[in-house]
Amino acid sequence: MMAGAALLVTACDRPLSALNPAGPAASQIGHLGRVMLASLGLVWIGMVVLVLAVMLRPRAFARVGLRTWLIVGGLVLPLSALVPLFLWSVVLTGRLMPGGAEPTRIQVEGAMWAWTFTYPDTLGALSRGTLFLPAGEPVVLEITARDVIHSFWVPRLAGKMDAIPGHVNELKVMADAPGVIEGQCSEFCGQGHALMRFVVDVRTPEDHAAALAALAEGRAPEPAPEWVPPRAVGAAAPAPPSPSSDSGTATGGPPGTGPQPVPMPPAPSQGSAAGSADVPTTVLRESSP
Amino acid sequence: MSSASSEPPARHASGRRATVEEAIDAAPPMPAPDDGLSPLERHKALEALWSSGRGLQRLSSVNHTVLGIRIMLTASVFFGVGGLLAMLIRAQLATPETAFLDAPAYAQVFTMHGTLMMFLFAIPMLEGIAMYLLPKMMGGRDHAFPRLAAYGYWCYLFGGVTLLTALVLGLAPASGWFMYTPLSSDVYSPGINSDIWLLGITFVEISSIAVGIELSVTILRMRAPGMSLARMPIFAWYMLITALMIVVGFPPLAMGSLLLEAERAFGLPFFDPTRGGDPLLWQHLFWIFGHPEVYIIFLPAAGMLATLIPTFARRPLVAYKAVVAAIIAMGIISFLIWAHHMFTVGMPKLAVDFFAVASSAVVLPTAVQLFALIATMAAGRMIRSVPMLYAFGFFAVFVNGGLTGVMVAVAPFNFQIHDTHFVVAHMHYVLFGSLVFGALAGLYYWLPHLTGRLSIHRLSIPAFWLIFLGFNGTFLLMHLTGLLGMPRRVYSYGWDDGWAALNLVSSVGGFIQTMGFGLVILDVILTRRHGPRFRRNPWGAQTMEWATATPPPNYNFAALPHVDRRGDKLDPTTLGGQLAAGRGYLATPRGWQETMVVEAVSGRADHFAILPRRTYLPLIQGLVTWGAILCILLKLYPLAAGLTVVLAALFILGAQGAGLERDHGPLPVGGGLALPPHPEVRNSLPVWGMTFTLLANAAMYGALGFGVLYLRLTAPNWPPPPEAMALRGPGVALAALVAVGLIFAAAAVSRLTIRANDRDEAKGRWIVATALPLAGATLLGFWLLASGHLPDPRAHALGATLNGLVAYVAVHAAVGLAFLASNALRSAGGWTSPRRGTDFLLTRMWLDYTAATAAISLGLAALVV
Repeated sequence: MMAGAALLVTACDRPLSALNPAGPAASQIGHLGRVMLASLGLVWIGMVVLVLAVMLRPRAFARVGLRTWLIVGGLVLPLSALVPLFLWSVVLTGRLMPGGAEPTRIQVEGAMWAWTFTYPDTLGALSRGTLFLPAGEPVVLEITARDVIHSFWVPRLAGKMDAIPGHVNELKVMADAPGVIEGQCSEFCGQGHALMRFVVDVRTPEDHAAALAALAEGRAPEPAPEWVPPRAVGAAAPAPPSPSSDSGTATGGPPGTGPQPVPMPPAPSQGSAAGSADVPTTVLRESSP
Repeated sequence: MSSASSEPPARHASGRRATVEEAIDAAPPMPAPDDGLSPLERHKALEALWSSGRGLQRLSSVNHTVLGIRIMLTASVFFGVGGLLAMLIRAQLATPETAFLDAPAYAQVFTMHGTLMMFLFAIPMLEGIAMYLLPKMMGGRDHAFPRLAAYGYWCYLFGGVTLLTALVLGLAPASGWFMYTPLSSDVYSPGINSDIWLLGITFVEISSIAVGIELSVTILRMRAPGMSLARMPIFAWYMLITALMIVVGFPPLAMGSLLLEAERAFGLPFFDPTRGGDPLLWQHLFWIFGHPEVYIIFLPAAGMLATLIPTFARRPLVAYKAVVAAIIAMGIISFLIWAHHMFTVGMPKLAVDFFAVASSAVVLPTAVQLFALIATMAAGRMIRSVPMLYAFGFFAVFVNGGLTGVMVAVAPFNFQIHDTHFVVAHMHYVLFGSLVFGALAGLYYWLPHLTGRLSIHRLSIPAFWLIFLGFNGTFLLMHLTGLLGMPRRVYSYGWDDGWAALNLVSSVGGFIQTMGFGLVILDVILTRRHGPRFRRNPWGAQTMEWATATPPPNYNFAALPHVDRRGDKLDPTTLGGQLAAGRGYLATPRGWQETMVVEAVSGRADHFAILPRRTYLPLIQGLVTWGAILCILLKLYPLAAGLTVVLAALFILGAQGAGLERDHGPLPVGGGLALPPHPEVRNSLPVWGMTFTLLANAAMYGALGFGVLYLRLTAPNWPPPPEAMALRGPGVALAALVAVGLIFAAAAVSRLTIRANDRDEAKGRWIVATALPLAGATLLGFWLLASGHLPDPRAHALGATLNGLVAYVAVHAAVGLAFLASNALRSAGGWTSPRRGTDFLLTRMWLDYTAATAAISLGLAALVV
């Protein structure tokens, strides 16, 4: 428990940590999570102590009546924890779900084992492995899958949403500030599951528009000024478009500097139109008009 | 008239609030029978009757003690294999970028770890424990359907062997123990791996459901006279609810597996979104089973603790009624909250809120049960013991799992931690905490009963600490690993993901745990070899299983007691001696394997059952079933169909010697009572067995009906294109209507058979008159399936569901024909009479059920077309 608390403190800069929020949704859930972990952790310790005490010193409890045990332990204690928690749950669930007021929509498609993003607002803009987001603007992602079920998860932005063939699920995300955030698939989807990662490239609205325009023209967008190269997670082709290699350690963004590839089996190509046998990585894929 | 339990000593230790029942007058024990048998002669006579055979003959045993131990040992082996796989997982994840297992191997390993632990360890283990204990705890000699249980064991063993063989051959399923489709479909998982899961697990599920039916009927009907429902020992309540949950909860997964196998093997698109199916249907069917499964595992473990804690607290369980109510509430709630495993599939807000709040409701009955145990300890005088050490492990670990369960049920938090290692930690706290610590507490409590020897305890204490600390070392920090973003089922991760240290700690913890289990095994072996023997009831327990000799003889009790108080307030020490002396029911061997059957609620003696002798038939049936399943796996469908017919013939054959060849009327059972044997009563065990079988069957049909409606209402790509909708050829609807009418006719005529039997008239013509319309309906059904007049089952889910409904009804009609064949054979052989009419009742029940599902199917078909 102590070690856990210590790690909890140091845990905040991990690239995929839900405790290191970069947007309001992750921040609100993180708050809820911390409160629950702390309070229910205390309940746990209390229960263990109680059971030990009752087992070792039952006489100390001989005066506690049966009714007290059942009413306090079986009713009062659970309800006093559950009622506030679930009110919080219901309210927060409502806040996290798309409310219809978000103008920007981006289509997300998972396929074995990469993510493709299309931007309906900019005709012809399409990216693969990198999701471009404007900072400070709520965006609704329309998430689906081409083959099997995947799950779209950017822990620092929001909770996950499954990508299910035949279904389109909506997820509201908003990134606070420009930067690079990492994401990954979190539903087991076959051999490449562990490597089905992607990055979220958050830019100021102006830079974002420029990036989409570049994508629409089939060019790789210029790296934004605050761009930090993402860590290489996949093996074969980790190189981001044109990062200067010395910018790696510059900011407190994603840690890790050079590529440290995970060995991976050859990813069977799923015969996609946009990109053929490329592995799930952080590569940008130029659109083909 | 009542006997048995004189006031046990040391009961009013706490001096206050002694429960009223304890003051019940201890009536004098029943008189000894005047058959002149000494206890030893009685033992020899009964042992000869109930023999389980020696050496290889034991394969023919249908005895609950033998089967219970066999199931527990087999489940332990699967636990060992599953644990070994867990070690492989922890070795792979111990450091980032480990080159030990590659992604395909890792997928097989984690899939098989989950599958083995859930289907081949957890459920069978608790069923084995229940099978061993229940008849002894409730004062019976055996369980209700010994041959069914033996068949269930063989199905379990052969199904498990199939899966293990696949693992050794590298053909193990690799789509996760949850088998989400489309990943598990023929497109994305070609090859035999997924088929092995679907068929192997269905095979094992047949066994689980069979034992579930068996336990339900045993608990409800096979108690000692006088033991009303309200006097059942608490473990019987726990197992009753568990067994009912198995009967209702497992069939939906069996149906889901059948549908998925039909999609894989024949291209029926139940789950294919491009053709009107929906992958989410699989998730619903899976979790309608999968969520209750958690409570199916928790309840028996809690039941064991609620049995052994009072023994060491020297005080009967407090708040018995509240606990019973909590168990029932838990059983019901557990079926309403399956979708909290699916918070991230894109459910509407209302559904998310409903399932979140409903999930939290289950905390209340859980808390009531736990605090009743705590209150029992607080009100008693605790004696420290090894079982109590493991009980402490249960509390510490399970409570943690319950609390993280609350967190997981809070939907927004779930959006983050779903499918991360947080959930891995949570579910291990729940399942390991309840089942493993519960079963280990139970193991050390009942090991003297199994072996007749006391535990030595030298190894069990370090074993506990290794397991307890190792477990927490593995899983406590894993919550954090999940919060830091590590998803489940990844075979590797990077150095800079920040998960390396935590994973190393988990792996070290895992290996420490394994050492603990090694010590437990060693301890059990040493106890069995070198433990000191004891006379009776070493713990001073107050439940009836301790009234048997230890290790128990095949017949359990030389005489069956009359119970005049709650079943956990007895004095087995005194009772054991009285029963061994024959002071009770059915003490005088009459050449039959007899045991008492009571009225379900009141516990009044109703009749006595004559149980079957040991037989190789279940083994043969199990082998044939295995053969049929292997044939389906290898796509040898005609051979599989042939073996199915052989199997049906074997079951008809098995029914032949059942019952009695002539009427006997009421016979003396002791205590001045005369009762009829079971073939001569209407409210008999087979009728109850059929009721629960039909309940399980209805759950299966309910899953099919749910699927049909679910696809029609929510699946993408509906309505189907016109060409996929067409009923090809005229009169298809008419044919279906006629077939349903014929089934109703058969069900109606079957009543005339019963009437003829009651009046002792010739029954043959009525059996034929039932069979003719039924055969017509069966033929019409299979003709509809084979002729291609229904919409193409491969083109769209509409056709697939229509064909599925027709197939369900046709198969049931065909099984009805097998019932009629058995009726005809048994009538001709003289196994029926006006008094012995159970056969015809069973047939009528089956045909009524078939008619009902046929009518509902017709309605469903009309609704979706």
